[in-house]
Amino acid sequence: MILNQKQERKKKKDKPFYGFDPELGFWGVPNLKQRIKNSLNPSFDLEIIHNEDGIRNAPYKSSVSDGSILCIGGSHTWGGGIKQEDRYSDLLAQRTNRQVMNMGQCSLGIDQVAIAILNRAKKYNPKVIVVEQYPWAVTRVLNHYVNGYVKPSFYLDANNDLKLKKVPRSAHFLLFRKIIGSFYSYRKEFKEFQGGIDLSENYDPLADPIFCYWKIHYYDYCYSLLEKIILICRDYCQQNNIQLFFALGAIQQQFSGKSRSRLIDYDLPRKRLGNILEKSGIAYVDMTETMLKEHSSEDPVIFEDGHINTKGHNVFATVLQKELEDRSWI
Amino acid sequence: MKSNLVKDILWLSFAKKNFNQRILYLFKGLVFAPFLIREERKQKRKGTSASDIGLAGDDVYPLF
Repeated sequence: MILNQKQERKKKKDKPFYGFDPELGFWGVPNLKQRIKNSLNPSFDLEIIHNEDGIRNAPYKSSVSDGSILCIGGSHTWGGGIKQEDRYSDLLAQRTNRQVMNMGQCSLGIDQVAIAILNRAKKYNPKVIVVEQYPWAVTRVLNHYVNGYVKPSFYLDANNDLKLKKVPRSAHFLLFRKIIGSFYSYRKEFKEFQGGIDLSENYDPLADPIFCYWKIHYYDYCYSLLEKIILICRDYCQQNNIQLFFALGAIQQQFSGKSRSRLIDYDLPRKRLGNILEKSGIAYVDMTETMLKEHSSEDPVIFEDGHINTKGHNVFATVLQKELEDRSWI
Repeated sequence: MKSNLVKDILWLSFAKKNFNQRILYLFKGLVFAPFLIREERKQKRKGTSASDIGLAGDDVYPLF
């Protein structure tokens, strides 16, 4: 009976909708169709349908002559907690009558976004690439082991040149992934400890070190790396006549009001990222003001955990459409 | 440098709240110490840089 109960519990646990990818560490499982429990909105189960490329999108239609709009980012773009057709990318497709491909994947970092753009975007003949970036998530470039998968990692060498450490071949196998991942996790925590940062014990999201002015220098390397990675994306797009656009989301902490101290600035990662984009000559929109304006406790734009909900995606799509149209990119 | 690293490994494990965690982190630290030391030496050899603890990748990524 105990064995049956264990088997039942195992069955009920949702199967992962992403798997090992030799280039990006992890990616959506191709041709997947399954329902998972919707932890963000328990009123309905989330149906996930991946196309042959492992993205939560309809198959690409090469017969469509106009260049597509490619949207890429993390779980906000992927559509955490909402139906596929309610995502900002799908709304953008409906409203602009353009083919919009959504390459979002949960927990994707800007490092993986860059590699995906360089290696996988061409297939979709994009005219515009929209990179959705949740400002807090800039730290993902420092995290090389995510959700049980070893990521590729960029680093700066002694000449300040950008280099890439690819996903080790052995990471294909679970056991080796766990061993390598264990080292990467320990190394990350060790470096943070040396830098006076502790994200494991008593973590307070309202005092995350990424927002703290007295920890600002610890993240200098992160932003240096980010800048170089973003330049790769920019240069690739320029060489291929693609318009690159960044959309910066509003972070959860900003909806909870002002911080407890003037030394804790929820705008800090957004400001630093904005500076990089401006310095690199990359067009972007900051969704913060609009999202905060549209948000209320009775009619929020986000779920409790900060992911944008259906209303939030609607707002996102409206702003994005206007930005792209104002630039005559669509 | 090596002794500082070992000291930090010990401090990290002592910083954990319960006994099991301390032992686990001590074990991890001792197992991973040679790799951390090697990375630190590589970083030192390359000179001061903004680089992370020597992620010396063998593959240079073809950008385009």
